Amino acid sequence: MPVRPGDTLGSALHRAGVLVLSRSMKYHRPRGLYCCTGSCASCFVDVDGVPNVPACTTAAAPGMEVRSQNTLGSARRDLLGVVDKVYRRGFDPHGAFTRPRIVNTMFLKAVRFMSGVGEAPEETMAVEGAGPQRLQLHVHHLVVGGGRKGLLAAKRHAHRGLATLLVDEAPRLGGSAASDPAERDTLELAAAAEAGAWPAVEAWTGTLAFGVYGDVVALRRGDDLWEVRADRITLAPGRHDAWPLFVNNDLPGVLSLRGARRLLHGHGVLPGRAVVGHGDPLPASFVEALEAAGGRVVGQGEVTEAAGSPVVERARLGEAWVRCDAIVCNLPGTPRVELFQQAGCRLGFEGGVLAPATGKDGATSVEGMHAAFGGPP
Amino acid sequence: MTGLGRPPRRGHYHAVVVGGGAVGLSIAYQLAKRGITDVLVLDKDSLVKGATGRNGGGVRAQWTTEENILLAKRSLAAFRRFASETGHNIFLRQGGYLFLTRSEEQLARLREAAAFQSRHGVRTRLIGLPEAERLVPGLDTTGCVGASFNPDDAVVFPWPLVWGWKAAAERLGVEVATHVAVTGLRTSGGRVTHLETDQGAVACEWLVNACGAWSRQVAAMAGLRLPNKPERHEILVSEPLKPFLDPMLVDLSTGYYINQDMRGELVGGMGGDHRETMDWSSSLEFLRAFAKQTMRLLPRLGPVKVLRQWAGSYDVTPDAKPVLGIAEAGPANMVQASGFSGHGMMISPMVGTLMAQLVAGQRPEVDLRAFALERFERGEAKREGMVIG
Amino acid sequence: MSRKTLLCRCEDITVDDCETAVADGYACFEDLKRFLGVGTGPCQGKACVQTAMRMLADLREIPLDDMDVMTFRPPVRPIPFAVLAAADADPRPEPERPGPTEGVGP
Repeated sequence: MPVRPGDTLGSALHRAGVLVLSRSMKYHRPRGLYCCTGSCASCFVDVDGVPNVPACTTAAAPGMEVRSQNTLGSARRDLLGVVDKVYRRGFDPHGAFTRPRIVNTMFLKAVRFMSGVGEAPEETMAVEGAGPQRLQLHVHHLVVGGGRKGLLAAKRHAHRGLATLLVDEAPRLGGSAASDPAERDTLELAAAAEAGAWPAVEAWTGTLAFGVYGDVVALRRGDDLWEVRADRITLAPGRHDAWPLFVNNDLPGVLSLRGARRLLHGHGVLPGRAVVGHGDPLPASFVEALEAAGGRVVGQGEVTEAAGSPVVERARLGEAWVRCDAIVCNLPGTPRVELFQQAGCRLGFEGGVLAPATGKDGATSVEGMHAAFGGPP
Repeated sequence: MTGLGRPPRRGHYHAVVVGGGAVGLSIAYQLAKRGITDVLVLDKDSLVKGATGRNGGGVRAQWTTEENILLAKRSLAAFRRFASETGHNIFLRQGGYLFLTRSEEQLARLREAAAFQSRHGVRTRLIGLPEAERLVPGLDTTGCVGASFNPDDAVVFPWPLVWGWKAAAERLGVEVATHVAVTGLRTSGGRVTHLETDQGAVACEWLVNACGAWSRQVAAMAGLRLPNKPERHEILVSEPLKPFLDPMLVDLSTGYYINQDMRGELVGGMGGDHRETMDWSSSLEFLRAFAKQTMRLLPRLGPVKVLRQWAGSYDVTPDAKPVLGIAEAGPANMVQASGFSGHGMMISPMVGTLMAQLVAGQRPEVDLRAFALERFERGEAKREGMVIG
Repeated sequence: MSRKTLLCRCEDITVDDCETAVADGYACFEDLKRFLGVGTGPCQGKACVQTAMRMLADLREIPLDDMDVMTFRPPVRPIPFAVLAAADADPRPEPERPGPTEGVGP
């Protein structure tokens, strides 16, 4: 399969027309990309024997062997997909096949057989170089998140010359703005940070802050484990894409707006030729770019049902069915509260959505920890 | 959390069980089966908030005291009947337990334990390292000196245990009230007469104290001192994988344990710094320590990913055996059922039967003397040797 | 393919499953999470939990502020055992307040 520079497995597969990447855990429904940020767990594939690899955030390299998981047959034609048809109304394993004992025994054996999604590696993987290293660091200011808000927070404190470390899990800084050409200001900030333009601010990309443990923030940088202590911590982790609620919302071809933008702007891949917008109106910049790439928006509004097998073929808007090959969902995102909660910050519901409670300068209820969220994405 | 607590339906019950985890609900169900249906179970939170909702699902009979073995064997038999009896699956899987040891001294104890268990009808046998490696493909036994295996030991899903017993007990007339906290006990003439709760007072003839790590507090409300201490234990779960690990694997030198649950996830924990606390925050130290042992024993699992870690408290007694029965120093109608030291769920069926027999005025089918609170004063406490995690 | 509206994609939990579970008494989030598996899959609730909490509050007819909140535990994304078992790179005690350029590993 051809791969272009900067491709992820997800973008390369999408460009090649492979939209069905895996089958779901219980009903073996076809699954594919949605958020393209590694958060929705829909796009797991097996890469060179490593299971459950998110296709959307894994860089594609020549020679990689990519296999779909949890199928009997292929992802596109999974024989176990019949489970979904048999259990039209859903299957509750709790009360199923409990009597007589022999039937229960057989049922439990079937449950075990069907369990799990990826295969554990059969051989021990060779260690490259010195292997994963555990390192420690103490800085004045740790900023988690290199999107607009994180960049501004790092810059604001930079003039004092105290050591600032800015981390972002993506390969480039800029967060969501990295795949939105209209966000020029943020892209300039990102370029400056990457070039080391701000005194004492160092930016690490490909670095995930995966846990707050007391006064230590644990980072995964490549395969290394970093334990960072800081006098001041700013968490600017951004938002998760909301999940749409309509019938067959899990069909491959249903994408979040951010996911569609990542494909289009980030990788030059057309999300779909005939796109239906769900939720808020699709931004003009996205529509223009879509059209420039050869696609078009064929409908917008509140989708109530998607249909197609195994990928999206049409969407129901009101009374009418509209033929399409992608549904792009523009819904308000939800703040990523995980690290805040781990740190013990007080959370509250604001506008129907859970977020950290903040005061002046984004101060949370935990001393030394600050939140920086932007407006709706 | 607001809104979910409701006052119990009546002001008086024959028996009130404080604690709606595996032990409390098992007791309530066994009471109801014996015709005692005027029973109220109280839990201050949801039923799965305590140890029953946090544990790794292990069910084993490999113990070093006769009483523990008896409780475990009969409980395993009850687990096998659970689905057909209650109509709820607990996804019992008997893949066995494999114990590894790295010291000759521990191997000698393992040999003794295996012989002891065999004498009591438990099919444990000492095995060589090549056989251990066949039982767990990819196992690296470097540094190990021996192993034992019991093919009948099992894992279950803990939460449906609670829901199944609750449903079965409710069908028989038991009332289960969650999000109701006991705030005090009123005694008179050496008996508990009332429980005070945040939803009003309730009178009772019998009180069963089965709320795990909180049992000490409830006992204190009646002026009774229990020697239990809460010990924090951490646990983690991996991404779900197709089935490949059959037994529960235990390394006795570190207390490390790992098994694969019915969703395909690897679940495990280990020994270490078990602080006396009810603070259930997770630590990076545990994550790293567990990962190191995993890489040592199962190096092919390097790329397998940890999904989530959490913690809970073992309710621990000085000899790692529970406190069961009526304490001489406590009210005459208060039954203790706590101190399970990390193995409460796995013996909850038999504990339910025994405590119900006590309340019903029947002779408990297992002699409870070894579990009496008084054993600590009498100097009769024999420590259980095989505590893991 | 049958017509289903998925709430929790990782575990294949539908909106109907949630409504049935709540009606059966699995009302608080901790119960729902364990009974159905919502939020316990590889995404650990990133895609679904906020929607689930709103749905639960609606079904129980309580204000959102009264909802019990899911506990988001580390790690925020799945981390391989090999990374967590990383060997200590530098056995020296850490220097005082280095800038980010010091202490940077190989």
